[in-house]
Amino acid sequence: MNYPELEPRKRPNPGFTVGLTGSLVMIAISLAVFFMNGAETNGDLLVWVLQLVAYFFLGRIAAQQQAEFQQHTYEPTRGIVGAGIGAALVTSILMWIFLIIRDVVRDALGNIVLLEPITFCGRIIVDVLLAMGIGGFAGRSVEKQYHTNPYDTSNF
Amino acid sequence: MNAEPWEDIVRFICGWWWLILLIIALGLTAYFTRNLWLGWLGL
Repeated sequence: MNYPELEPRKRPNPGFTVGLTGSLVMIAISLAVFFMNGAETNGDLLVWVLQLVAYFFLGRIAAQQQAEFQQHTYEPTRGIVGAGIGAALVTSILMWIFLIIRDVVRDALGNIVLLEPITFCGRIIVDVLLAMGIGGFAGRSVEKQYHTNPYDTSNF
Repeated sequence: MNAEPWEDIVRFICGWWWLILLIIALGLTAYFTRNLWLGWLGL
């Protein structure tokens, strides 16, 4: 017999969907700053600082969604921190893909693009680690609110 | 429940981030197009 109401519903993964939305917003901000500077990359550092702030809020939003999806299950805190890390990580990776594509396009249009491979790799690693750390912190701050004491019988 | 004091402002930003972003975008658009519309206002 089939019990559709007992099966877990197919839900979009909050970490991925929030990360995707966040990276689209960050790409729009990055492009806006890029063109405001006359198609120069002077504003990249500013965008990166904004991005670090965005990691925290995206992590919070994703973790909150994850927590609300499974509030009435046996493991209400499962995957909350993971959703926070996931959202920040997806944003970070998609932003790096965008930056590489942007530089390839700038290069193809005849601009001089100077890039040191080791520095570039180092920047990606630092950014990804920061994204995981900040996203994890955001996720843990949400998880803490949904922690219940299993020995507390006052709600029975 | 176990919320810290700073989480109120975080919760506000998480709920209204799109409105904050819209206001910033509209403000910047107005600023960068001021040459177009300041004339209409007679300034």
